[in-house]
Amino acid sequence: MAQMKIGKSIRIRWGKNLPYVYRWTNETEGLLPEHYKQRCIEFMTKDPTPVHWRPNPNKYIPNPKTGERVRVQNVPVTVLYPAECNKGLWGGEGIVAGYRKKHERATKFPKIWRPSLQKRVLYSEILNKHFLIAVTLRTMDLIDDHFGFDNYILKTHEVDLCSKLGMDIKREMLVALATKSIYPDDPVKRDQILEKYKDFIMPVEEAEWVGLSVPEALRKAREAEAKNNPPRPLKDMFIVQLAQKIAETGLEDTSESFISKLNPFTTKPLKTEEKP
Amino acid sequence: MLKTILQTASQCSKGLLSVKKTSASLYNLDLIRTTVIVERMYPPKLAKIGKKPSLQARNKVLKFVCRVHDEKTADISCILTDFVEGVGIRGDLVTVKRRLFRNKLYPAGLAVYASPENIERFKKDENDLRNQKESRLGVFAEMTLKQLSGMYLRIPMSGDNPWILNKTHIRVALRKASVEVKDECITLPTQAITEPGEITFQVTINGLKSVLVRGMVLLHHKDPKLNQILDLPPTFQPTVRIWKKKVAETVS
Repeated sequence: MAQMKIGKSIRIRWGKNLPYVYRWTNETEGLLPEHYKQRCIEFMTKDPTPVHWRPNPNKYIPNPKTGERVRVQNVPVTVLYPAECNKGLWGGEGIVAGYRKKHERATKFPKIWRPSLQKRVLYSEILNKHFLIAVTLRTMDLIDDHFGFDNYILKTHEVDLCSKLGMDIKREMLVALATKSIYPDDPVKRDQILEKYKDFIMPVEEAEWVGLSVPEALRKAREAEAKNNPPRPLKDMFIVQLAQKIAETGLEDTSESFISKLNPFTTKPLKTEEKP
Repeated sequence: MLKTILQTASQCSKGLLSVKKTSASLYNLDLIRTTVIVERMYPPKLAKIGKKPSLQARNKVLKFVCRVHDEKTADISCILTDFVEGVGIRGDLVTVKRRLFRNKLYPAGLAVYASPENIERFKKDENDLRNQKESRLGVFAEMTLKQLSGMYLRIPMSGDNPWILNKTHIRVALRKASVEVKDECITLPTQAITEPGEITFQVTINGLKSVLVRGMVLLHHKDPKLNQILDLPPTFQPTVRIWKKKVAETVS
């Protein structure tokens, strides 16, 4: 993290327990586009909506003993996100790990609260595809609140989506909307869907980068760079050099033949005899 | 003395256990392990404004508050895209249980979310729907037809006086079995019935769909000793709620 630039200027959010991180070096920073980097910084710095705790909405509260005014400090509960959460849609839920006490002077015991997962079939209207995804009940409620799976994926921020799979689906949807490659056989349905999700249409060059991990993004950038500057064969370079040389010196070759150099039995005087 | 006490105690404990077992099997008393909400038992000390507080070991002690789904989730409102038995006809805005919508109606394409766009879309063709056959038949017609087809009606008639079976006799018998039918809906068999025995008659709903109902004409005398006790099938056969029967068996 020391090499990352954003760490110096902006505060990264508390508890570095994220589902995944964006991190790049100073050398590779120049390869990545600006809008991609902006999204990464937003993900690393933005606070997510509280899921496993309830923040106090008040700014001050009275002290129960003295009645003195005390400032409220909302400290989020640390939540762990294992690698499996990137393969499903947990809706911001994770593993809550801590200690528990029965009363004030009891010994504390470690305790883990885990999310309950169930595999469900979810239908995407834009992609016309069914997905079998491990979800929580919270995800199902969120999908209902957003009036469908597509709206849930497109409208929720990356911080609250909290899953690599979700971002992959999001990118797929955005690219499909940008290129208008949905429903190739049904033009009526296509226009209907494009009208419905017109707020999410963005240029293709930007949509292709949404939700890519840094290694993926670098691979993509290098491929694009290689495509613009294709490797030039040495053959072509030597031809140009030779042409330049001939132009300077002329066609006459005054140097000795290389066979004469290789043959140890020949002598220089012999060569001179032949000439006349 | 001790023995008896022990015995009684063991019996009591057995009884308790059995009650527990049955209760566990009847209803799922386990908590639904959904989104947990916790709070810090010892909140961290106040830090300066703009700085994060330093967390100590005691700040990691958590207190359980509740689960989000401890309370029952509210029903969802949706728009039907097709006729659904016992729920509604096409274009209806209905409120159903979330379980039904998520698991059956939405995946099958029978309903859509009641978003403002969908509500506008289904408002337009409301007038065309009124002339459809389904809308005239009603929402619960199919279910009542299904229930009537599995029915075995008892029609009590006088054992002391002569009689000819009438529509009103059947209507009254149906009313006793908590089915309200008008006289026009009933069609009797062509031959006049004057003796006890099995019969089948027809019931039509809204003049569109009809169903054959089985029944038995019984004789009731003034002197109850003369009444015959017959072994007949139940008036209504279970069509939907079979699990209630299982519950009754386990309890007994």
